[in-house]
Amino acid sequence: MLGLIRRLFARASERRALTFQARYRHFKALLEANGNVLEIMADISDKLVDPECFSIGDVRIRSTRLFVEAFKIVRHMRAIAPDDGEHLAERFAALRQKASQLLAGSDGSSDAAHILEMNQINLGQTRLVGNKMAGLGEMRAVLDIPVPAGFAITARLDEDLRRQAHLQDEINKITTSLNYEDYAAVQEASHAIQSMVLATPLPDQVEARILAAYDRLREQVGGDLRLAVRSSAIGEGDPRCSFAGLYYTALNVRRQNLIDACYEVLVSKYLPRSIMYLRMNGLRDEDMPMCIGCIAMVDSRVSGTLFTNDPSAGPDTPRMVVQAVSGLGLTLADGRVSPERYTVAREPEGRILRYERGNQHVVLRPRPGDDVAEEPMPDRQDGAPSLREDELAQLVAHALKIERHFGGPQDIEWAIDDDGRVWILQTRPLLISCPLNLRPQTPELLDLCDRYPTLAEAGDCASPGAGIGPVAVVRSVRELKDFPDGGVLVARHAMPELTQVLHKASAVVTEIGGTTGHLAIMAREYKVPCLMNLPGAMSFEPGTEVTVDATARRIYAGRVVELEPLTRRIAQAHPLVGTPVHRILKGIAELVVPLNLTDPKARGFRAANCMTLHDISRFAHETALNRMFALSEQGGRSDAHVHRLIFPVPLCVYVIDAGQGLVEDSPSGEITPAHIASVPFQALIRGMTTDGVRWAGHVPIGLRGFMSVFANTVADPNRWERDLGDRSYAIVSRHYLNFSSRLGYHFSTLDAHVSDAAHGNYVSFTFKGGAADSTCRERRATFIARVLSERGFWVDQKADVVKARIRRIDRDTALDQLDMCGRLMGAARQVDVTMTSATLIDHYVERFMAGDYSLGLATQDG
Amino acid sequence: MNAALTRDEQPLPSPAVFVQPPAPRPATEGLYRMDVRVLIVDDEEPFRRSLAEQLARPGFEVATAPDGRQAVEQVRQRDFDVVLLDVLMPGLDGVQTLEQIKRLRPLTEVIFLTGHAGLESAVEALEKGAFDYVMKPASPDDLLLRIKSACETRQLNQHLGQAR
Repeated sequence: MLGLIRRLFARASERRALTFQARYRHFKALLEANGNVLEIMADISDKLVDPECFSIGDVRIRSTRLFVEAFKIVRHMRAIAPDDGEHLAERFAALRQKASQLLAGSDGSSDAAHILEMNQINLGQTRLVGNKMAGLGEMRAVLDIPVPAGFAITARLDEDLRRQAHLQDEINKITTSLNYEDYAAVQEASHAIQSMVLATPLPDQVEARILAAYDRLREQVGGDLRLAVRSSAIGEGDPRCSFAGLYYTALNVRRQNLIDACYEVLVSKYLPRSIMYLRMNGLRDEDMPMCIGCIAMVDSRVSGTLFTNDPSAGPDTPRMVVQAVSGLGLTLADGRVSPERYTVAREPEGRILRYERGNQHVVLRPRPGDDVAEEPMPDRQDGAPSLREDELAQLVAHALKIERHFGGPQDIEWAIDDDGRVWILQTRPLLISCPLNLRPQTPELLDLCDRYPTLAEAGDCASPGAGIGPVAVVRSVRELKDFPDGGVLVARHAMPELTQVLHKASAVVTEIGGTTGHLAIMAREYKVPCLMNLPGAMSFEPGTEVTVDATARRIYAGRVVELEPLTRRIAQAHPLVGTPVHRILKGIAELVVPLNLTDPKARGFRAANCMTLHDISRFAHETALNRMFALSEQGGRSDAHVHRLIFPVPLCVYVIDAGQGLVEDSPSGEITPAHIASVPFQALIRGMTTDGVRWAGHVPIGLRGFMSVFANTVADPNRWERDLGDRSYAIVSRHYLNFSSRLGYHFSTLDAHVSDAAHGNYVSFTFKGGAADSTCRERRATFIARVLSERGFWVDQKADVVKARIRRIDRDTALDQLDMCGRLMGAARQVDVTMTSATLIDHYVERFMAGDYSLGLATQDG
Repeated sequence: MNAALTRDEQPLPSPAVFVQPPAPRPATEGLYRMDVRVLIVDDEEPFRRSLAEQLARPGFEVATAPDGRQAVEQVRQRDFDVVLLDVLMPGLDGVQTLEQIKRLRPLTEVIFLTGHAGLESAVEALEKGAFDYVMKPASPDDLLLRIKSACETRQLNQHLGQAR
């Protein structure tokens, strides 16, 4: 009987011990998750202000990690403090939903039709049919402008396709882990994604619907219908990011090739240049659903572009620029030929102000079957203009109408067929150069530059400004991977593939190419100076430094210092601020970073008031500590098993023993260092109480002294009075220590295990924040990081968060490190408000390493 | 595990019964002492293999499965401590696999290890009882710590179950 009772009692006590173990595990895991949340949060704040390039993948990874860790906080809170845990779970659910919405983006077309005919389209359908097709439909419907017949395949096709078989997830998986700096990796990713898309079948019946639309159009147009199948992405054509020439266009497509052509347009979103462009512009794959325009082919005698303003002359110029090539216009857009160039008056419409001959060696024409072919250009006897004045007048008349209707300068694509009919194929806003780049061509400046040897003085300015750098000749796409940062890109043709390295180029020079082609548009977008049609450029010596003055159409040997102020860093010229990805990151940061629950003693410090993940983390941390130590809300009395440590450091330390951490006959209530049996805690206390380590104010002895410090520091302007109200907590066992202290706004955790078995030993130290401004805080964090790193810790610092750890060290080394951490905590405590200059960091590190733990600071005696 | 714990919540033990609680398991020490059985589930063979080699080094007993169905089959036959699970797989997806594993072996801890950064699927996985959600590429040290932590939790839950 007695035995049974004893066994039952033993069972009960074992169970209670286990329950404590479980609780303690939750507590420890909560602290860990909390540390992770703070670290990722610091990283997100960093990314917001740092102009460093980041992709949607980076945002996704950080948000996911953040919510995973925050979920764990809530999970452990439910075990430690169920009532508060439930409230936190509700708050978390609300934040999670908002974050998911932010990350998911648009999903507008799921019920929309797959096909829209041209006469059903106007600007209102931009979200469905893309900018290009919406513009065409609008011109036809509202302006009565001659636009070829056709139909649009809506964004729904792309979205349905990406929903098939987790395609979007698989694509995101690849782009998320992609190293965009590695050209080969980008190409590999591009291939992988393209093959995945190609292997994904179109959703049910969509193929039949596309072919039916083709059949209807053939009936309407009559004869042998051939199509131009073109990309029409949503957002494409925005003057800030034009997407010029990134995507594929299939020409002369018949019924049997139509589906293939659609796929080719769809996968062109994943060409290396498109992948890079999305990233540079902070766009996600999902932001750019691809729509497809299917337009009846115009067999053009002559085709080209029209800019309603002269882009090299700036806004408000009273003239338009028309560029023309024989045959199909693709050779012009691709920069393979130099077009004829007409500068024409707006009034009277189309009067030629200036004509420059082109240099066209090939003509692109439809082949009898399908596809198109290049033919040699037939010799033209006289170099006479291929456009007549009446044709130019028609073009200008259309252009004026379009410009008025769309409200702003336009970049228009046109074609004139064999019967002399004028067709408009596209219009999009024209990016006019930033006036900053358009300095007046002062004779003084040119005179100054005359001192330098001129390599060339010719060509057309495709994008104004000046750039200085080494010549980097690119002969093939393969050579792009070696393109150097800040190089002057020199190429024979203005190939669209060159856009992939524009962000690295200080200037661009091509022997052939039109100033209205894709590369020119992109160069203006990236604000990279660009000179085209410069004969002999390919013979520049690779590697030699040159100065390209695109505005003056001159290239100098060497560095022209007078032009340096006109060169600009490309990164600044193309910030990610305001892009969709930045907007999403900012939205996430708003859900995460702000801290509203700052004062645990305030009435509003409640779970239901947590507005951000930071609030959740702060509240959970405070509450978990209180519950673990079973302290009353007023913070005065502790339960019997919680001990208050009285030692000559002005910290309010509560100790809980998790097993042989205190000597056997320790009193309940107040204890002294003599009662500590925990090996790591002994070492930490030794460090904290080392001679010369100055905590704020007088070092008090006993409670009386403690109170005197309190009195002293109340008058201190540096907010230290707040610190003293906070508590520090130590959970100890014989070989283990978890010490967390929150001093006003700063917060540190020391976690250590020290025994004779070196492989199990570790010391890990986390530090965050401070009462001073963010620069001082960061400097203090750097000071701490530097000391720990010098002492052999593995250290990771993000803004004002430092995480450091060292593992597998023998017992004596571990104790030595803990001792040092104690000294460092004392030394670091006083420095953040004094960190007025970055040079002080070195100084403090030096003093600390030399054993001067007051860091040479005047005493803070008040 | 948490639901069970919260139901069983008790006030902190008084000092009398608090004399000799089992000491918290030390960090890596415990990891080596433990006989850890791990199952890696991932549809990419090279990844499975290299991770298996990596985890065999500290002496883990490692098994692999290429998809959810085979993973569930293996779990039916053997009591793994930890299952490392991919999210996107042909056939049963990660969360479905998790649910089946937990039904068979409630004490087995599941860590998602995936290249898929989806906030929704991550939180869903945790809600359905996953121990952790780790994004590839994960550092070997970090992964070991998380496996260790999962093992300790499993052990504790086991003891709690026995003491009940």
